[in-house]
Amino acid sequence: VNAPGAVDVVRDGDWLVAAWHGEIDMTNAEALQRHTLGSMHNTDSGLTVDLTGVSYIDSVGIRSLLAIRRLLAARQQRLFVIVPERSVLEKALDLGGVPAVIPVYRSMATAREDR
Amino acid sequence: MAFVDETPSWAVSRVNDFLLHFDPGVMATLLIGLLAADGTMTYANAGHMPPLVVDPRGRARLFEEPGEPALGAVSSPRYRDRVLTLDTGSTLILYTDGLVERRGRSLEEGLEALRRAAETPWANLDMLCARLFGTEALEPKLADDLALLSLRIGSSPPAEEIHTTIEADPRELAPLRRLLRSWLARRGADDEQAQGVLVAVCEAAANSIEHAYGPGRGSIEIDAVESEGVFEIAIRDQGAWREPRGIGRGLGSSLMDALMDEVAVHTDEGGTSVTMRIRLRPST
Repeated sequence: VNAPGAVDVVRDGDWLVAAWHGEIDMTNAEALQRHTLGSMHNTDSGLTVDLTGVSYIDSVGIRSLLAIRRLLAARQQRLFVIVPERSVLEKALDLGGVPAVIPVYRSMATAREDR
Repeated sequence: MAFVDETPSWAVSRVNDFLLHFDPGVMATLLIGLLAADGTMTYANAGHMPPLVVDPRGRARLFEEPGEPALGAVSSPRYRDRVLTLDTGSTLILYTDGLVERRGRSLEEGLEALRRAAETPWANLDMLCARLFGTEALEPKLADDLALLSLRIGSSPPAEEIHTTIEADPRELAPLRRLLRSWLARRGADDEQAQGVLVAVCEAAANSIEHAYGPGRGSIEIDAVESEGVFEIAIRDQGAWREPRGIGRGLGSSLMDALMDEVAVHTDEGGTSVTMRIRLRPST
């Protein structure tokens, strides 16, 4: 069973890491976006959204990621996304233009190196 | 623990003794049933949720018996064996309390909601389970405390095609995905292919949910067939054409187009239908 969407936020120095879980659709994308942004500090350098635990995402979730990027860019904060190798999300994210505007990493370790 | 010649109540009592002895302070609920070939099930229930049975005519009934204590609660409780009969075509549903307990709602209301959900027509056990799991937003914290077992006596094989109707409610999307996911897997689609179809179908359904109906209820029909490796899925609503479709959903539409070989949209005063087709396997 796929759990409904959920988010765990962890602070890692001056970065926030938000791990999204479950299926992301119109029932929960906005709440995930709000909760994730609400956990950021103005002084944070950036945010990593970890999609490793996500089993489904569609246009609503993709729009949430793009909205987060716009907001952070305006505040000069960075956004990374983690999408593991061979993730089923990859195609929708590609088509939605995510890798074109948000750096995508395969793992937390590689994302951390680039901060 | 083998109990070939013993009864479920005997087995439940032994587990209770074991728990009290080796793990004092731990409590758990347990239901053990022995289902005979003639459809009679003898069972003992240590504090577990009451069995739910849907009869062949689709009526659902909870077998609520006077409560017997959960395991680990008292030493030497008296567990009784009970019997229920499952006629051919009836369905037994066993579940954990996480499925019916919600903040701000009594257990009684939760059980009645479950019973009613099981009475809403369903085509197969996948769909029934999807319904029971997905009719409401579950508390994320409870997500690991959910188990559901459904069993049909003399059941028919899994559906070759899907013909289903969902409410025009975003919360119906997750059960719809579960139904489609298992159907796609059975028809030979791999995970990545299935994901593409799920996104395309849900974009169309989400469009109907957002635009087809005003406040209040409406429904969406979904028909899915596969032939020679070509999957065809139609999503129909009966909504008035309230506004041009696609406004604010440009990304959804382009995902549909990109993920499927062919997407056709037809709108008239009767509603909108989206028919999408994709070849996922070479024809045999």
